[in-house]
Amino acid sequence: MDDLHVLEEQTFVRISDKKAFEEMIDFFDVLQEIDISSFYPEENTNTSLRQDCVRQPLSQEEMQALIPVFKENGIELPCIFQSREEK
Amino acid sequence: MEIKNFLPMLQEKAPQNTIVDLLPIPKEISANGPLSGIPFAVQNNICIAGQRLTCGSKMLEDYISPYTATAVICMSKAGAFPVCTTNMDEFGMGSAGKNSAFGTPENPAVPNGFPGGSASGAAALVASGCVPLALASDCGGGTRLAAAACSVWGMKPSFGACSRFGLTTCVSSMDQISLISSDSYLLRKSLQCLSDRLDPKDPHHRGLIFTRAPWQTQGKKIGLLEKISIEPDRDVSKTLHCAADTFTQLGASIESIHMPQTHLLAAAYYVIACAESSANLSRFTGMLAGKRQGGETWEAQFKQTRNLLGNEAKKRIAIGAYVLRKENYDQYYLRAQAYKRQLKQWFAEIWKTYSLLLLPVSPGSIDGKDHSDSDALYSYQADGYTACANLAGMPALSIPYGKTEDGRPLSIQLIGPEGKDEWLLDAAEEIMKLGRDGKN
Repeated sequence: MDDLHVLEEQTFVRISDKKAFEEMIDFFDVLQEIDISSFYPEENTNTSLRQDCVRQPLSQEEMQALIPVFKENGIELPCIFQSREEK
Repeated sequence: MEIKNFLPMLQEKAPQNTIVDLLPIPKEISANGPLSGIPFAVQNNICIAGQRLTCGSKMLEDYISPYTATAVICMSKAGAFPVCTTNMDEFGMGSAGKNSAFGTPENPAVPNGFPGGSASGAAALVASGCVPLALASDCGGGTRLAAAACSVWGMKPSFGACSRFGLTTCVSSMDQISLISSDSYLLRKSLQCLSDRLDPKDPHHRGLIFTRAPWQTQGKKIGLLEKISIEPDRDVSKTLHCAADTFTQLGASIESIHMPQTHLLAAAYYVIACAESSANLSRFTGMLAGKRQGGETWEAQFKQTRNLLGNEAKKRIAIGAYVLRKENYDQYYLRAQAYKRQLKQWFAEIWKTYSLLLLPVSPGSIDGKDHSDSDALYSYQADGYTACANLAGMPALSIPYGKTEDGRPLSIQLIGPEGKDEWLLDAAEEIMKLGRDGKN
């Protein structure tokens, strides 16, 4: 998979077995059989709960973009959020 | 035995790698509760104030829980007392019990055998006879697989039956407080204690209503679900038919049924499980949660902190992030959700005809074979036998049911309608009275 390293960068994890990872993604391809043309996630069910449960990790840019928002509200974020230039 | 001698005995007799920490014996134990004087173990992803909550991970090795889970409080009010925390697969990820950062627990039921997972430590400790009862969690079959591998009872209640406040969930929409015990009486009493009062701290807690109406197998229809995706081996199949014959002797009618599209089940489960795990574990960066590691730059710090996670957790985080990407979301995540709804609808139709389903816990023996390295996909597909109950929110029970010729434990599984958790225990008790060969 070409963008495996991007995933690793985004999630800050190093995948030890890339073959197993790719096999797993291929394994998920059977789901293409499912017709979702008339599927809408329900509200107030486990389904909507599930969608509240997931979110993507923030990128470095997104985290840095949050710094001024926090500053405006009087919160100084630890230096780990700051870019090298700011440090 | 005097209570002061209990902990030294536990420390001495417990199988290797099962216990994380011993707990102080409480000064006062309720003498009048339904579980009065019963010592129980607590899986180490369930909070106990002032105690370590490792979740089987180096990431939380030193984390001290600030409060106590509702489930532990309920059990204590009923007179039981927690005596130790138990080892587990890291954040509940695994089916063999070998994914803990603190070693693989020894399985007392099978020398040199894997204890099953994710509730490996809890099941092995109960199987050793050191404690009669353990609180654990089940997000895709972790309790039932470990209980089956260690030859004890494992119960996953209906989704929402027990409060999850204080349970470190990794798969939020499916994780559930569960129970492991050496007998069904303690399971029943514990389930009643855990589900009788609604917990305002858990919005999904619905509790259970115990009918106290006696269950009679006579006249009931039970569906026999022999295969989910992978063909069960000869021993598993033989055991399943033996249990079906016993139900028939008790007056039930057994009918073979087929679950549609079972080849999609494991894929749908793992898409959802990885997606939610990825989101839930994203907090462990060493900033607000997790054991912060050093580093020159913030990227280095993040990476070194995240490196505390085990290989299985890292793989699932990356898979979860992949399936949640904007361009992949509909292809994987939404389709998995659609499958989950179809499965719930199928179960709803099934309960119009059948009272219970009888099926294997796994297509092969769990204790000896470890497919997680050699053939991970086989292991994931095999999880379909247990994960179907989690996807649909149904209660499920694994019951030790005989042994193979070479002495390895075998189990069967019952799944019932949502909220009818006690039916499983009633039916299981009836067939256990007759025994493995249909004789007392």
